[in-house]
Amino acid sequence: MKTLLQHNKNRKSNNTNKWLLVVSIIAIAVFGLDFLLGGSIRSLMRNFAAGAWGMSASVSMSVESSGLFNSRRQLAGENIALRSQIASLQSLSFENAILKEENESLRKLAKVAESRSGAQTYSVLSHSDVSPYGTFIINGGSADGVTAGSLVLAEGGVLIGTIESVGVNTSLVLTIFAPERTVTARLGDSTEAIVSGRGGGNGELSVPRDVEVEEGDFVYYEAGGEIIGQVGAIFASPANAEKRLLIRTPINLYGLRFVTVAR
Amino acid sequence: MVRLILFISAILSALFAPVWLTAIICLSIVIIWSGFEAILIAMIIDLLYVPLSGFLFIPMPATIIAIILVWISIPIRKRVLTD
Repeated sequence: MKTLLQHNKNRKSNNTNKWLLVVSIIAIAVFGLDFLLGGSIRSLMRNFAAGAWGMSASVSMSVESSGLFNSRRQLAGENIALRSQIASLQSLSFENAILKEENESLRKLAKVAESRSGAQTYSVLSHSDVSPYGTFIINGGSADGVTAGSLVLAEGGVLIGTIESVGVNTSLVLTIFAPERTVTARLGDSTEAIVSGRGGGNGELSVPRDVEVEEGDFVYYEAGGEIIGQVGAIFASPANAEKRLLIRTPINLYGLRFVTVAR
Repeated sequence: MVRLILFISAILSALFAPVWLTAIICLSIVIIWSGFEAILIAMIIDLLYVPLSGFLFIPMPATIIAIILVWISIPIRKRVLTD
């Protein structure tokens, strides 16, 4: 005969199972409904989350600008660091000017499309490391003329992703190196290869062993010629006919604040 | 009370923190309570971040994993607690 304690435990356990069953069914039903409605529920969810992200961004900016958490010593250290950073940036700026001029003439020679008419800049709402799927959300949607499939560029024209789905005020960007995503890329002048995304701004590709490649070489998006990454490491073995290249986006995805969406 | 705090922390980390932190909090909820909150958090992550075409053609991968883990954890917890 069951004791009262055992009876209560069983009842509690049955209640828990009932709740679990209800929530599991609701979860599956929500996704089914979202699929039937063409993504309206997730679009609504993103709009709601956009409000939370916006509020958090303004709160963190207010706290930073108030200097509430800055001690005097910390500020002095920051001052020294910033001065040396200014000096190195000034020299980099000079080098950059020379490189830009060279790049300009090379682009004219290669007839790469320079201008992107209608491109717009949007702020990044969610960080890419928050999503396990290599996606992030921007604050531009169909109301701003954003369309699915558009290229998403960071500073320097580096291609970091494409628009995957568009809501009214927000859009989901799928990064170029999202896990299990494959894109056709070009290494050097003529070597084509398929890049497999590994997440976190990293990708991998294989090229024939006799292809000349060095660490630091740029990898380009085959369709449009934009830079998508740089070769970070090369793994070659005499027994293999191919060598494996690990590539990485030159953009710090975590610190990304703004992106440009090309039409 | 702890369960509620963990649930709210998981929602906040789904929005602001790296995914591994959200995963740890959800796993804690599953292990300690076999809580349905883990399914809700996974649903939020999938609604926010999964492309419409799905991840590896699965429309709700985190939600499916959460549902499986929660249901598996019930008999395991029962056995562990009664042993």
